[in-house]
Amino acid sequence: MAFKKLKRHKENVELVSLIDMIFILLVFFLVTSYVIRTPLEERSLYIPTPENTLGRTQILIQIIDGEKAFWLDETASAVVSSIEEEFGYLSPEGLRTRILNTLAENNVYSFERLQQAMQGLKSRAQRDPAARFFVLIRCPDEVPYASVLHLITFLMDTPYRNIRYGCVAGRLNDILQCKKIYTVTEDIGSRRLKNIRIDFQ
Amino acid sequence: MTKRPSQILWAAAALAVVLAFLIIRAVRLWRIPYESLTIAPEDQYERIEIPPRPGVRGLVITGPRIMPLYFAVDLARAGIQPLDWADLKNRCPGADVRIKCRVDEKGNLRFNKEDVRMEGFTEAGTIIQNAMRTWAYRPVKRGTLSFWFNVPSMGKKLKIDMQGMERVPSIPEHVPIIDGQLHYILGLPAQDIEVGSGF
Repeated sequence: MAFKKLKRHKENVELVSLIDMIFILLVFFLVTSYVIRTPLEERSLYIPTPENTLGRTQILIQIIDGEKAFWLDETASAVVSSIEEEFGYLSPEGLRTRILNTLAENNVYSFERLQQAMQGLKSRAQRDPAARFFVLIRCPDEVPYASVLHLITFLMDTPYRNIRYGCVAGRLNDILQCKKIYTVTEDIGSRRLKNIRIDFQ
Repeated sequence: MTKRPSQILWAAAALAVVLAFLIIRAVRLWRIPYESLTIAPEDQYERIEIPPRPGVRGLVITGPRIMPLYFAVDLARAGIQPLDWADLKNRCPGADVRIKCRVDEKGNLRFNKEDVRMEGFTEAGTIIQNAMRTWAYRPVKRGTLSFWFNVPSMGKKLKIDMQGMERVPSIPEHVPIIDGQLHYILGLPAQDIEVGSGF
């Protein structure tokens, strides 16, 4: 009986599959190289969502538009306190309006001045590694979030990373139309502080 | 088993493209500055401080620290004279003198003869009065301040009664007032002095 001769299939490279695979690899490498090129700061920023409680901050930066911002820090306490003492005879609404008008008049900064104020804060943070600063940035929806990122990256660029930040959406009008603004005395640890409180609700 | 030359060329070309891409990518990665290197996702949360969630119902902006005021003998005032305890002890070792004083809003310490009880210890009473008449306090409290000098006592040699003292009304309530050194006596250890209410 004659043996049947085995037919050996000719092995070919499957070009279609090969090209598919190459393109998949190409897309993968393109995407990963884009991720690598994304600035480190942008990827490392973790923006927590706000909660419906009383917020606390040392410095408030309210972005108004691309050119102006409203800045409140501990020095505003003396301004509010002096208005409360000087105009204590006014109605609560009149007192609120006077305080807010004064703050809006004195504390709206151009971005150059804001930069100077933030540089001052950074200098304080650099001089005292043990100090902790918290900055709340409020930004209206229509202002590009890149403006906030710019502020955050500027503030975070400190050797001791002792400036922290929080971000919420909001307009200057929310502050100017707040329910009440007044000074409060609070004991925190062994320190007694004269803080400004703004009630929105 | 032989392959057609065209197929081998295609495969080689594809391999060359991939290799070229890998090489270019490696070179680009190698040239990235150290600061821009990627943090592995699993390490991000350990290395990056996550800021707290901000509140939106209201806002408290930290103000300046309110520095406390000290109620104490105002050593900056002119003419303040100390009481030398060693001298008092040497000259009148059994002295027992009580003085009830008034501190006015300006911090002046006032008393008259009727306010001094020094039965049998006139010399000691005079020494003490001469010193105390020069004393003045920082103007943050006012009221009655009583002193009991008991030189031979084995317990407290000086007791100061502050229960008649109150804040000066012009000082805001939120400003803390701390009691400091209420006397200007040299040579009397702090453990021999009791400051309280009543004796």
